[in-house]
Amino acid sequence: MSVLRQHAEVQFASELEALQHADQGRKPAQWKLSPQAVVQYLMGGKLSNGVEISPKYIGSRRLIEIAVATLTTDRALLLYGLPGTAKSWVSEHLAAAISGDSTLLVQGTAGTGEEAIRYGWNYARLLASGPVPEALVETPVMRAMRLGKIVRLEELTRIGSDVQDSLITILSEKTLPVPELNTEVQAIAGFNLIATANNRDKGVNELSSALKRRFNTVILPLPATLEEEMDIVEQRVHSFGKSMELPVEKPIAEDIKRVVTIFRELRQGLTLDGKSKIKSPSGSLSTAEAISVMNSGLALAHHFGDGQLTASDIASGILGAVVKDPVQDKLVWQEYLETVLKQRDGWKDIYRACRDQQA
Amino acid sequence: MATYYLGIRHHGPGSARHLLSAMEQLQPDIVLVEGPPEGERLLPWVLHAQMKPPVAMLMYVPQDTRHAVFYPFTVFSPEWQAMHYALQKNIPVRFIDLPLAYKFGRALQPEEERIVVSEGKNTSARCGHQHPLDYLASLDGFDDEDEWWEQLVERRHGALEAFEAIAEAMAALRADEAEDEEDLLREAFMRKAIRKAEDEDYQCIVVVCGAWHVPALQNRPPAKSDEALMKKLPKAAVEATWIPWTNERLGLESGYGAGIKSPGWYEHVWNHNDREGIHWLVKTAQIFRTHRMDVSTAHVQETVRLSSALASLRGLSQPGLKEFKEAIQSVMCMGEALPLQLIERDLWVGNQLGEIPEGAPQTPLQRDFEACQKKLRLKPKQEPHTLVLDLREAYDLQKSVFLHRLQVLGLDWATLSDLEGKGTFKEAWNLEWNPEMMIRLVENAIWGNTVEEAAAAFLKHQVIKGPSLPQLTNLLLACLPAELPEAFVIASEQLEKAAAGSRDVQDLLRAFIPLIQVRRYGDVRKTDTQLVSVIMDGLFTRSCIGLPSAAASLDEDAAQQLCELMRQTDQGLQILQQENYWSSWHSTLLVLCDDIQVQPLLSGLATKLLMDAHQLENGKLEQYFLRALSSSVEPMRAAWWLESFLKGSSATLLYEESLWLLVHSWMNRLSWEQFQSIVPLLRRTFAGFSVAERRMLARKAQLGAGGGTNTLPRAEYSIQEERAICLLPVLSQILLPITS
Repeated sequence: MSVLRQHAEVQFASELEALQHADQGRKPAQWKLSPQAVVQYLMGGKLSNGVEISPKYIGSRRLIEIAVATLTTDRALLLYGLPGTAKSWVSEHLAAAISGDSTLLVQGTAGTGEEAIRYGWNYARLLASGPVPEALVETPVMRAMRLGKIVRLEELTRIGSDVQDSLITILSEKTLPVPELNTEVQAIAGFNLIATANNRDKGVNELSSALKRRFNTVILPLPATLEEEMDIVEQRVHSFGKSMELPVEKPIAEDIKRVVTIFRELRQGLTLDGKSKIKSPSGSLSTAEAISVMNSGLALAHHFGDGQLTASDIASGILGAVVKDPVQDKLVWQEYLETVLKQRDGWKDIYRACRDQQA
Repeated sequence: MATYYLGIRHHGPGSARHLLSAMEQLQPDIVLVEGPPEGERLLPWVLHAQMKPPVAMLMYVPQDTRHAVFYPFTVFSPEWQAMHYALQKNIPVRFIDLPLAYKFGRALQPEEERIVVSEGKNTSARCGHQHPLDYLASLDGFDDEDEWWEQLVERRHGALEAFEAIAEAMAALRADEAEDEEDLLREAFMRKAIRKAEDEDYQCIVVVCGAWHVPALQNRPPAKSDEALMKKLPKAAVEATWIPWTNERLGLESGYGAGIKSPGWYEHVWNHNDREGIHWLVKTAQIFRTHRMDVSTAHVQETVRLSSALASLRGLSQPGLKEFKEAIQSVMCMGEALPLQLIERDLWVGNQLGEIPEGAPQTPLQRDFEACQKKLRLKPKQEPHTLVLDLREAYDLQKSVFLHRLQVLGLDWATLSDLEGKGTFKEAWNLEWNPEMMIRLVENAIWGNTVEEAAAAFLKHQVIKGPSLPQLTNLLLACLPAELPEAFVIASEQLEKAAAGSRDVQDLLRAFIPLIQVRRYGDVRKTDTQLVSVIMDGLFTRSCIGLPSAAASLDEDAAQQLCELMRQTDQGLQILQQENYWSSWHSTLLVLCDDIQVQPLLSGLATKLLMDAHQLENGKLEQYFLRALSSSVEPMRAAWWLESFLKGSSATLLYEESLWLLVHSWMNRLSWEQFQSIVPLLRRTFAGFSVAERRMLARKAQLGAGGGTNTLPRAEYSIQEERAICLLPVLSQILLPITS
């Protein structure tokens, strides 16, 4: 039996190995690759020994360079951006490339407590033998400090402010005191933290300025051009097809282009030719959602259709992504459907499919 | 005898540093610089103590100043340093480029006669439509030329080898390049000058020129072929002068090709040996702090670290501007790009403004301009600032006159801004200096040798061209604050003539209204009000005659415009208080009231203006009212009349019981459809009143036809008189100030 989704370091093990082989650069302590090689792992390219590295992040190389350079200093990295701009994706691959291990992960939620960040106790042991090292439950943060690896913290701003601030000592003094045992865990070289946070959600806990100061921030933008976004969707859809064992046969580039076009237009509130203004729905319509629309379309076609992707397979996905608010967004979508899609040459099938979905 | 070619990048501090150390090493006995020979006569000023870069040589064709070229220099320009070095050591400096006399001569020729054509930018469309250095930079994996050059040359140490390497690179680049015709010509001239210097037996010749030209100068074709190129070139007369320049302008295209984007940064590099950028980042943090951004010393430390990490990641020996910029954004600005704008102008570009010593060659007009600036202590500053002048002070008045004259000449250094509380003896000016204004000034040199002369001549020229009446009025008004009496006389004569020919009452009134102010407050500026009144008489009489016929058959919009002009005229006349104007104005208004052809908006207004001036005989008001609202009149026209009449005053309706009754019965007479059609208009009319006024009107309307004004519905209960009397003293105290 195979796992549903491989960790990055497993899925791209051969690429990582090839990079390690070809890597001439100086590696910081505990790093598996040199900073240059890490950047190359994310941005893709051809190695001197002929191995092709697939691009993991499609976008500005500059941003990845800043991110990697940050991790070589002792500052933590904060990836900031709209939902679906590949923040977690980038952080996973950075951790995989730098530490060879992307599993040290804390998911931040409103309920994340200090014990999920610093350390917890095994209460049965604690009651039986008192505060002894064996009763201590390590968190991924503590383990990363001990091993000199990268720890990832997802959705930092969802965590309550008081809990967030427990990171300050860890990030500035690189130590985690355990007063109960009268000891501490000191981070060894190679330890660092990548946090992600999104700037769209309401009700997030703004970082305190003391904590902010411990982070270098990189804002990941939405894809700049239609082509860039299509590249991202195409690449991810193909890898999804592989892992789900869906045959992606027919050239689906045209469909990807249409989905991406619809998403971009609605997001920007303007048609791509810049001629007509349209309303924007409430959802963020990120690239990640475009990917999942394509994926669910492929799954539909495979399991319920004849394996050929048709307009109606993607229509339901689009509808679900666009209409987040049943009243307002529906109006926006209808208006878009009737004023923009209807007139477009060669889009009849998708227009009809969307209209039928709605009825 | 040896000739050395130092290929530089214009405005490159590293180039300048290399150049200086190369010169020290070589000890040349003559320096040849890429630059137009016409500029040589400006050279003595370079060493002047008052010369403060950035400055530029401005070369222009006196007959046609559109043909002008700037050669900007700043302290870190290699050419500037070369000139400085040579002048200090007392060795000759020559400018060896194509003389501008020929360049302009070619440009001035009619299109078809031009022999070799290639105008404008001299470093474009190369290497597949790319700048040569850009091309090399992209080969090396850099985003742009600046960055590449900065890393490779500017911030590196070691001098002569660098120049050799550059020459080689350029030779390789030029080997498979189509040659630009103007470049060929320029290089022919440069070679000629080099040959000349060699013939004169100089032992060590240093040629300072753009890197691109080095190969063409090193490998010289026979002198004959150069001579052939130079034959039959048309010539133009060229003037040269120094003008102050700014850092911002260094970014522009000039005689030295494309500019540099961040002079502030280069200047920093020139002045400080700041390899890690600590000094630079501290300056950045200080600017952020003045804009109330929390940037601590720890932030600076982290920025230094991140920029160094970025540099080493990119395989650079030290961080450049790009690395600093990215690190600043990531550490100090929380990833946001917006705050970077705060430092862009102040730090990256810089606010420096150059200065020119007194007595440097200038056009007479420029000299006068600077003398005035000095006398009036109006030093040009690049940052915008505001100047408030009190015209009662002689000194401020002089300043104002000077600034007004500049406006006449089209120099927008200073613009008038509205002043709160509009006193007529105060003026507020927004000043923002921009070196390009010097061109405007030089252009204006044909009009005269002093600012006053030029402004007057320019105005006269415009007046005589025969502009329309409103334009003439503007010109006339411009003469007054600029104190140009001669031009004023000519303009007024022209205005008289134009007014006689004009049939447009609106134009006449538009010309008339601003003159009221001039006449009323003319004494502040000691204007000759006598002349103004003569013009005004003419304008006013014509307006009064034309008004009744102009007031007929107008559509609503045109009528509204005319209404506005009439209101302004009426206000102006109230200020002026001149008996003869009043009487003719009132009789004109009476004609408007009586003529049933007149657009109702206008007759309504006329009625109101007459009523306000107490010029209506008893019963006349009711008569006009009845007529305007009589049943045969279209409800729309009646509503227009009412709107114009009531605009701005509800009191008439509130307190004149008879008028109220008239309106009331008119309203009752309207059918439902008629009412609906005029409701929007009425609404507009009443929307102008205050809330209190509207409430009183509504209450009055509720009471119907007989409702008295002050007789509000009396409550059921009776008033206890003794207690009411107690209130009277208080009430009288409150009300007395109002009634008295």
